[in-house]
Amino acid sequence: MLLWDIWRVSLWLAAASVAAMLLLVLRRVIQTGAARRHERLRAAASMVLLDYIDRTADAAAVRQAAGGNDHIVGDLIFEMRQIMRGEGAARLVELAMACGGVEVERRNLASRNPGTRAEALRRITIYGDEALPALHAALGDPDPMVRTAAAVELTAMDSAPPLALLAGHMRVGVDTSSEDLRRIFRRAVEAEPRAAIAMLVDGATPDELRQLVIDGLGHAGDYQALPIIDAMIYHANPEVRAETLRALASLGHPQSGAIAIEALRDPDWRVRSQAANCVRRIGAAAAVPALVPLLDDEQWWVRFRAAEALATLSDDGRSRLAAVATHGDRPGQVAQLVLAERGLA
Amino acid sequence: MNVDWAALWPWLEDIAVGVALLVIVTGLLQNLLSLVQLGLAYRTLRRRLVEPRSSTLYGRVSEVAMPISLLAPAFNEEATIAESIRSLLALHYPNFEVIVVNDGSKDDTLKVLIDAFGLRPVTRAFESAVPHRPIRGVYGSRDYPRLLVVDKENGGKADALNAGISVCRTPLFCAIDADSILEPDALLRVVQPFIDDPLRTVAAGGTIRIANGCKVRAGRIVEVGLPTRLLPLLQVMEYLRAFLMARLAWSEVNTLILISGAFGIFRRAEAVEVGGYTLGTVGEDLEIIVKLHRLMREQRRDYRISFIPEPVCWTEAPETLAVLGRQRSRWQRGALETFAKHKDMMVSRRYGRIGIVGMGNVLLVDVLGPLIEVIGYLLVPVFWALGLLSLDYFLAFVAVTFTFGVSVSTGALILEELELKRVTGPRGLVVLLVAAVVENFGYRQLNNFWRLRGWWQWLRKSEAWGTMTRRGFATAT
Repeated sequence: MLLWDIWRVSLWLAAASVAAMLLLVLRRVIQTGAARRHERLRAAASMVLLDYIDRTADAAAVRQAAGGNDHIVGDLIFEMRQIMRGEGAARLVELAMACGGVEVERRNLASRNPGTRAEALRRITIYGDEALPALHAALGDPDPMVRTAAAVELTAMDSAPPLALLAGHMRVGVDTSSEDLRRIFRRAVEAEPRAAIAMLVDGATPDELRQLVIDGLGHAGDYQALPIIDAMIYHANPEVRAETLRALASLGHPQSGAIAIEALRDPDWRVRSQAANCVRRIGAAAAVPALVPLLDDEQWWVRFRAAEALATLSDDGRSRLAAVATHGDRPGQVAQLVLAERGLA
Repeated sequence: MNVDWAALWPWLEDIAVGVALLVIVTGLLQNLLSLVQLGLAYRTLRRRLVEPRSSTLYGRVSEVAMPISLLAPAFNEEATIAESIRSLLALHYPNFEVIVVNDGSKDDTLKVLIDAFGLRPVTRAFESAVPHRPIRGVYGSRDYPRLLVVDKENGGKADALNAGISVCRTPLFCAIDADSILEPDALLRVVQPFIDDPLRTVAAGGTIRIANGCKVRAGRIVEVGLPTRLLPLLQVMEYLRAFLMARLAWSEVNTLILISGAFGIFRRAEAVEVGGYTLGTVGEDLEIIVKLHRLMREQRRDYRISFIPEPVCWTEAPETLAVLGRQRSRWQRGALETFAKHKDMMVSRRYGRIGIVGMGNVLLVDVLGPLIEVIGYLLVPVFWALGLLSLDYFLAFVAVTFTFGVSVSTGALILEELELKRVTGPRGLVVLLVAAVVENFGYRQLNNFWRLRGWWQWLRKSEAWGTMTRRGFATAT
């Protein structure tokens, strides 16, 4: 009996799937015809939309040109709004509101599908301040993709919440670790450097968030933050220490030279590598004696970054590198390669 | 000697029923797995957020996009290499370099590159972080600062990729086939998992599609079409099933164990940690992913290996039975090599779902599946004809080897049409629907025989790659 059932189920499934596919083919035939009509209407509506922006046509004319299809109008407005500023943009928003666009996006924001919610967040931004409550509310969304999309849009609109609140919403390191966070936190830290410094001082700040704040301070170029960033070089987490050196390299302040030179002896190779890069970018010529032993580091990247720093920092560094390059051992090999790569061999 | 058939008959019946049940149960499990994959893939496609415009995507990604090195191994590709590399250099991505690895070509591949891009010898400081044959020279160009050509002794694709890994300095590298065509925004899209989840993502792959039947101009697909010949057309359906259904589904539950060698992006640090691509294997793409899973599980690190349905790499499919047969036998050997090497992952709890689902899938679909199915083709009809099996056994066998396959293939096509709509026009859909049905009657069986040949070659420890003859892409006028 079971064997017969297998046969019957297989036949039923095969027939059902083929029938479903045939229906989809039929749908495509209809859609192909509709798509041609859609394209015609879209082309016509886009022309009238330009007239509307120039105030030579009204909203009803645009909707009429689109065959009464508000989706066509909505898509056109969204696309045009991304490249238009000033009065033209304001006109587009007026039209979108007249077509009930905000309501459509609000309905999409209530969707169970996180992809739909995130897409709605992008589209609702064209309504400017009107969209802010929805965007702020989305910061509390259970899905990290939606929260990140909301934060990205709020940042782009210069309306992100205060840094501490943003950090709380984004749950950095808990379920969100997107690279978009760097962009978001750079802007937030730049706007509130004091709050950022307070976060670094707070021992309870999670390491992932700490790294984002350090990166933000490095990009903000605010030298007042230098002492607190310097202090992060003693943090227990090597990733925080490496991030600190990246930030110090971005700031490029000579005061951090001593800290970076000290980091050249860090037990973690990633930190040593960043330290070699940092002293090069800061131009800490005093690092030369500490860099030479790193040419024999266990890790290639440390050897390479140390050789690059020596080749860049000073005549003393270059001559020491050239002296090492006369040997065929491990330090000699990397010294030869870096000198040759820079045309100094 | 007289054989007492009457006494033997019950024994023979028992053997026939045993064989038929083995074939039916294995087939049922495979088909159930496919249905689960369809469901998972549908859920993933419904939930994803896609930016349709690549210009907008570029704006969003540019500030946070990690630098990528495109590694393109080339062997005897003098006819197409210049155009392929021009196409790669024109990809839309803010920060990337193209490293072409000339794997000891016997033709003028290197000379063509030198002439076409004004290359001259340069020094590049690098460490041989993973094993590979000696590098003879490195070439760069003033006019194309993003291009680097590595000339090395011949060692095979894995060896060439390893040389590329050694030379590259970016945190991510993208392994591709030099003769494949990437969509202009493929990098922007495939890097998305690394942007969304930078701490956990160690590798990501994109969809491969068949370029036969498409029109190509200046290394770009300018008109998408379906192949006019049967074999590549059936492979279109196969690829659709493999990428849209299987890989997407396994990616969703983090048990993806294969990223195609034609288009995959990796975090360099972890690739180096596993020793790069394994030399002397024909399934280097499967092997490196399994090694990554093993490493991350053994170190108890939280990680993701993802598949993205959108980024598209176009490749030319074999058009003759001989070439296709060689390719499939080689793929089978690759699967067997990797399974034999990592089979312990299946029985150890430390590998979790990778052992049970990932390697279990390889065991069922790649290791045992073809063997048992071929046994079924050879024996079940004979047993039934001899009266050793009743009709219901025979029909259940037909169900698991033919008719279920129709629903699985058609299901993948339904998924494509519902969520992606990449097939051009209703006519294309009808052609593919016919292919989805037809492939189960002859082509699938042929494939299993090729895979059986791969089994035999693996047992004989054959390491031959086999000649892959390509016709070249159709050029648009």
